[in-house]
Formats: sequence, C-alpha cells, structure tokens
Amino acid sequence: MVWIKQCSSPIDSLYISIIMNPVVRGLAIYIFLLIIFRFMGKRSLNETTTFDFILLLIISEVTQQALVGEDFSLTGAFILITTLISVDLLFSLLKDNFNIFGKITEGSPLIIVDHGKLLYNRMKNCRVEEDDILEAARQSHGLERMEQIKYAVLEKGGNISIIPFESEK
Amino acid sequence: MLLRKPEEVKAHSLELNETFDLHKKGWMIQRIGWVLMLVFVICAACGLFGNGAASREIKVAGANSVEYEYYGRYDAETEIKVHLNSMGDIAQLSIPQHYFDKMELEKMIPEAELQQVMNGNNVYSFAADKPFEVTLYIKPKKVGKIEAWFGLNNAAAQLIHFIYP
Repeated sequence: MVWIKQCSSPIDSLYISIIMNPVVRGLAIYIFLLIIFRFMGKRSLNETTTFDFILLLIISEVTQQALVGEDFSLTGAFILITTLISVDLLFSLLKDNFNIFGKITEGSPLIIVDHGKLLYNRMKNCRVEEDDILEAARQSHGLERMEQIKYAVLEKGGNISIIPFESEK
Repeated sequence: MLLRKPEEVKAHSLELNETFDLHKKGWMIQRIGWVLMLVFVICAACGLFGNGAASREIKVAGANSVEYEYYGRYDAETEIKVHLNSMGDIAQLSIPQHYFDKMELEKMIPEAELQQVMNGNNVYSFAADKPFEVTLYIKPKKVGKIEAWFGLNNAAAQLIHFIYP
C-alpha cells in the first residue's frame, strides 16, 4: 500500500526555509537589538546597576533561545557566529565610509557641563543625573566640586569624560 | 516631542563635533520608540501575539464547541480544547490531514479509542456516554494564516489561526 502525503505548496516551504535560516534569524535579532538599545539611550549602555545586570542576563538567555531554537549542531553555531561577526564588520565598514551612519547607529558626544554650569535640559533628555557627573569627576580626576569642571562630555558609549579647569594651567 | 528644550552651547574650545541637530532628532525618535515599545507590550499582554484574551476564540457547532487561540507563534505550543457531546456511547472528532502539515500534534488528552483516515481527514473516535473535553497540544510549523474545518460529531466548526514567525 502506498501512502501519498499531501505536499504543502513550494512557496510555503520556501518561506519557512527563509525565516528559519540561521543567517536571517541572526540578522533579524542583531538589527532588533540594535534598534531597541538605541531606544534605551546611551546611559543604559554604561550603567551597571543591579537592574541592568539582571536585564542583560535575561536578554542574553532569551536571545540565545531565539537564535538557536532547537538547532544544537556545530554547523548552526558556526553559521550564527560568522553571520553576527560579518554584520558587525559590515556596520563598521559602513561607519568608516559614511559618517552619518555611525552618528545614527552609535550617536555622537554631547557636552553636558559647560564651565561648571550644568546643562539640565540636555541632561534630562539623556537621563544623566548630577550625581553621575560628580562620580565621573571624582573617579577620573579626584575633583570635589562642579565648579572645578570645565567641560563634561557624554561620550558615545554612555560614559562621561571630564575636562577640569586645572588641566588648562 | 522633547522633555525640555535642550540648551545650545554656542562656542566651546573642545575639538568635538556634537551634531546637536542629530541629537535633537534622536531624542524625538527615542520618545516615539518608547511609545511604540509600550504599545507593543500592551498588545502582547492583551494576547495579540497569542496567549491572551484577544486571542481566545470559541466556535460552536451544535452541542459541541472548540476553544482555541487565534494568534500563535511559530513553534510555540498552544492548546485546542474540544468540547464534544456524546452520540449515545461514542463521540468523534475529525481533523483534516492538511492541518497536520502546518501544525504538529504533540499530545491528545484523552487519547482516542480508534484512529482512522477517511476522505483526507484523521477521525478520532472516543468511547463516551456523556459530554467531555479533548485537549490537543499543538505546535505551529508554518507561519501565516492556517484554516481548517474540524468535524465535531455530526457538526463542523472552522478554525482559523494566524501564526507569527
């Protein structure tokens, strides 16, 4: 007795192959995370509070499940790793050749203290607190007061660089 | 919409390109992004991506009914509860074979007394003298719209799913 299985349409099968392809999944997740972390803002990249630590732990677990699914093969792992590194390299090349691309994906530095004066509205938009600036000042230059800070710059990576008045002398 | 109008720094001695206009646009896009994220989370909590009130569907066919999730996600297990009336001492559930091309049946509780294949349908027969419930645990293996007519004893109900990738 011959059993003939009803075949699904070739277009359905192709579509499933495409969305299940590890390259497509890796790309989709990389771009999704890039967008989501841009929405979170620069400071979120730099902060290491307990909440952020927990969040990063959970996100890594969830991402791993979505990337790998039920594919525990070496080949699958190699494909995903290569895809993610290739995308990173491609973005890096795009940043080198197109300045605007880098500014959109990574942002640019922003002055948040000007000659001891806090630029509050900029700080609020970037979700930076006065305490964060003073902490950076103490850690980098041992400064005690805001008046000793000539400039404070919120860098692309979310860290704060301090230029004290003393360095001018 | 920015939280507050950010201050301009007209001149500074730093060799630094602030691209302040881009910052302002970025902050606006960020706010829009936060709203979109909130809307996404609310929609998900309501079940628009499965597992929620917005996704529950009940189809009635005579004295029988089927309760299932309209929205599902690829390879994420979901349940179909079939309430079957008894036709004396037997009840039958009929599921088209093409449904199983798109949905993987993980478990059926209770298991059928008899399974047959008739006219392109899998027919499950249960020995039952009163109404009872059959729960099917299924995993979508295709994305997009999936439709099927389930035979519930002598009646039929159409199930429609939308499966997200």
